[in-house]
Amino acid sequence: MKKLQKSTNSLISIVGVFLATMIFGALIILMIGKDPLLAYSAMFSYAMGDVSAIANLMNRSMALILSALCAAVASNAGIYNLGGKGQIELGAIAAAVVGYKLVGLPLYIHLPLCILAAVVMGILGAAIPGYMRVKWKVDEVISTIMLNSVFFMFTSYLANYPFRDVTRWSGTTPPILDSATLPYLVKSIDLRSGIVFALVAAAIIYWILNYTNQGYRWKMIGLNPRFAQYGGVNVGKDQMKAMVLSGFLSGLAGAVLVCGSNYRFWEAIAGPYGWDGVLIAMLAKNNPIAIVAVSFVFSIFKNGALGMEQVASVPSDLTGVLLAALILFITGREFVSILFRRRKHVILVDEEVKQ
Amino acid sequence: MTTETLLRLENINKTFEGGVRANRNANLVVKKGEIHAIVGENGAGKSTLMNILYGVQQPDEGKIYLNDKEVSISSAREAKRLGIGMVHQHFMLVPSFTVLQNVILGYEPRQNLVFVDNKRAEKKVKEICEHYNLTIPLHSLVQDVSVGIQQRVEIIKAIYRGAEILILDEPTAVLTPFETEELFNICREMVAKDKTIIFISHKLKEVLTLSNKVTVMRKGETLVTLDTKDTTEPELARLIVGRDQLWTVGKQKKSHDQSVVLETKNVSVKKTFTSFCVKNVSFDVKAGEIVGVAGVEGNGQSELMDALAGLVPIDQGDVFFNGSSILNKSTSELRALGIRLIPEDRMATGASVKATIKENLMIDQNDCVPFISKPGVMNWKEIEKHTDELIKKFNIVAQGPETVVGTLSGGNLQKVVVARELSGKHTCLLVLQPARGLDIGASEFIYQQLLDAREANNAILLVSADLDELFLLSDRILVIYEGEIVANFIPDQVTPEEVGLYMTGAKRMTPRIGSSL
Repeated sequence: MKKLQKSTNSLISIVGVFLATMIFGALIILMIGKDPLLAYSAMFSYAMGDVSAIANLMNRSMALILSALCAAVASNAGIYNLGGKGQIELGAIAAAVVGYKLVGLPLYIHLPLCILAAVVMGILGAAIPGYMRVKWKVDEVISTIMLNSVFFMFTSYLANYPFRDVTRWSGTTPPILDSATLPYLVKSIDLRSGIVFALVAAAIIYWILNYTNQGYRWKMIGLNPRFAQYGGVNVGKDQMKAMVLSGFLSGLAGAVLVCGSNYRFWEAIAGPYGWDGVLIAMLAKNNPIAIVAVSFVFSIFKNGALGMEQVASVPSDLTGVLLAALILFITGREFVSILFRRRKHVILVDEEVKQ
Repeated sequence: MTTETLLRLENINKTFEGGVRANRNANLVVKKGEIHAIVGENGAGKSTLMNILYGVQQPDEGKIYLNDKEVSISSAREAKRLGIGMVHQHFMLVPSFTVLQNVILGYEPRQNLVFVDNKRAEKKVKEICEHYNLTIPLHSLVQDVSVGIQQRVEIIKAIYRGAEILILDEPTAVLTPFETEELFNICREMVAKDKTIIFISHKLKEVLTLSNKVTVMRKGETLVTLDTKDTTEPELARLIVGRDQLWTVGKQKKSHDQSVVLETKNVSVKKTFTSFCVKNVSFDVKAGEIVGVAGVEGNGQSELMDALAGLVPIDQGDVFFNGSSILNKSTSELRALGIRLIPEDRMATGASVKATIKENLMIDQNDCVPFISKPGVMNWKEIEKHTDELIKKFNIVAQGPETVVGTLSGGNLQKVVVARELSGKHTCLLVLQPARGLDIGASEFIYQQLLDAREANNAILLVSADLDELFLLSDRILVIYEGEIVANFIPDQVTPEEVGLYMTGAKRMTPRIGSSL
């Protein structure tokens, strides 16, 4: 009951933050002499005005959700995985290569193989810095960021040389076979079931973090690793597990990107998702449910940017302003609630004195 | 001693955020040239009252008169200007500066308005030292001098800045018996030369030795001010806690033919690649016995305990638990055997202050039935029930299992730690500074828990810098100095002063080990 109330509260505050951001953005648009209503209606109609726009929205959201979950699972356990981008690319190229190389398999074998390959590569990409951290105390913030470049170059090489689609200019693998694609959710608008994967993943992660002893230990390590160690928790082992799950999620993100919307590997396919995922995880304070909500808001702003520019001639860069405002308001919300809490205390004290 | 009233605090009220009323109508009258002790439990409002006097906190209501003129002390700087100086419990010194630099910091005499006039500074500080008969190595680095000297630096600093009234906040908490005696001499010297001292303490013996007047505080109120010569320790204790006896706990005599539970043989722990912080330590602890380890902080006792609890590796030697070696066992394996640590830093190690009480209680039992319902799945209902039980059993003042531990008072936080460690399987307790910073009531509760564990045949190793605590609880006392056990005593056969000599390295029973160890 309490948990439910907490969730509703956070939902209400997310809506509030969203509205505040929109009002702030409207003021900016007014200042540059444009019509905010027109701009916003264009933004929303581009982002979710028709069925194909919705399909795009879902496709962006699913990658953002998984990427954010990847960052959240790790940082919740006090180890930072900022290598989501590189790990997603590793996963994506694995899915793409398995998806076009293995001919003649039925869907129910081929697709799982693609996802498996992606997930294994994702885990590998996260386990390397995780192991270095746990074993040799190599700072994982630095190693994961640097590995982004390594994995980008590596996948770029693979897409340009061994697995290159010779009919294309550069930087892509050949399209995957039909037997490697995710099943359709709505066929007419080319919407496949990647978003379902993302939502199910978010639900499972939520359950793991809140109801299992593994999730409990991760939380304790994240809050105070000294205390966890003193309490007998094997901090290194648990952090390694968190990195593996984090890598699993980025591999899965790579797989749904290839098998669910792009149908092939493009160079830097994870470009728009890696860092936004880290940001979303921070804004959502590693809460999977909040991650889903923030990811959708992010996607609306990003997908609607072009509409604002074309219809209302508001530069699409305004999206950046909107996202910055969103970040300010989310962090500001904390500030406001702290102020509010203080006020409440003062009121309580007054009442006590009166009694 | 004159009878002129120097300082008067009238009806001071202060309420903190969250509704804690730290001071209610507190009154204080201090006469010139007296040593005025303020006693009371932790949380009685002593520190708040002093912080108000020193300008660090502002009262909600009340007036302060200095020489019969009302003053408003808006900041510490203002307090210094008015001639009020304070020596905090934790020193505010720059370790890498010399003593002289620390004394003049912020109030340096200038040469041509720009450069620090070191000569004039040294002359001025030397004058102060001579005037009050203080010896102090002006050119040593603060980090190289002992705690007692550092405190002296703080006192000189306050005088240098023109303090007429000096507030000493729990000045003896960090000192050995000898250093305490020296501090008292300094205090007497200063009041003889017309300074006034306000002395906060909860050690009644010291208050009775040193002060002229005692003000007792309880629950934010100033209960009464007495002439020290007209009062006694039992009377003060009764006023402070509201009952007759200071300590209601006491250990029962036991026969000592118990089996050895914990035994260390030549244990050494490295501090760096080449130096050791624990050197060749051998001792044993029997079942049903409390062995106290006395030592000035930083002499290797924390590292020794951490090593025994499996938190840091043991570099040489061996440790036996019920006869078998427990070298290289992990913390969780040691916990499973029943070896439990109550760490000295309860905020950083003993508890997770941002987590709730129920989460804090589960750190070592998160994969034990009944706290998991299926493998790997937490049974929060059962955990909450368990937490409620422990909250009741250990008298933890908290709203419930969901209370965030960081919002609890020090005593209740320690009770959470103790509740966790004593609710699991335990046969050997490693306890560090269990009552540090706790008031008498909470300390007594913790002591009783330890004595109950002793009755239940636990082997207890108790590290403390507080000799009263060690003498109260221990069956034997070991003294650790620079990482070595230099003496061992039976408490009835030795005085605290004697133990103090060993703590500071002035005496030792065992031959010194070469540094080449």
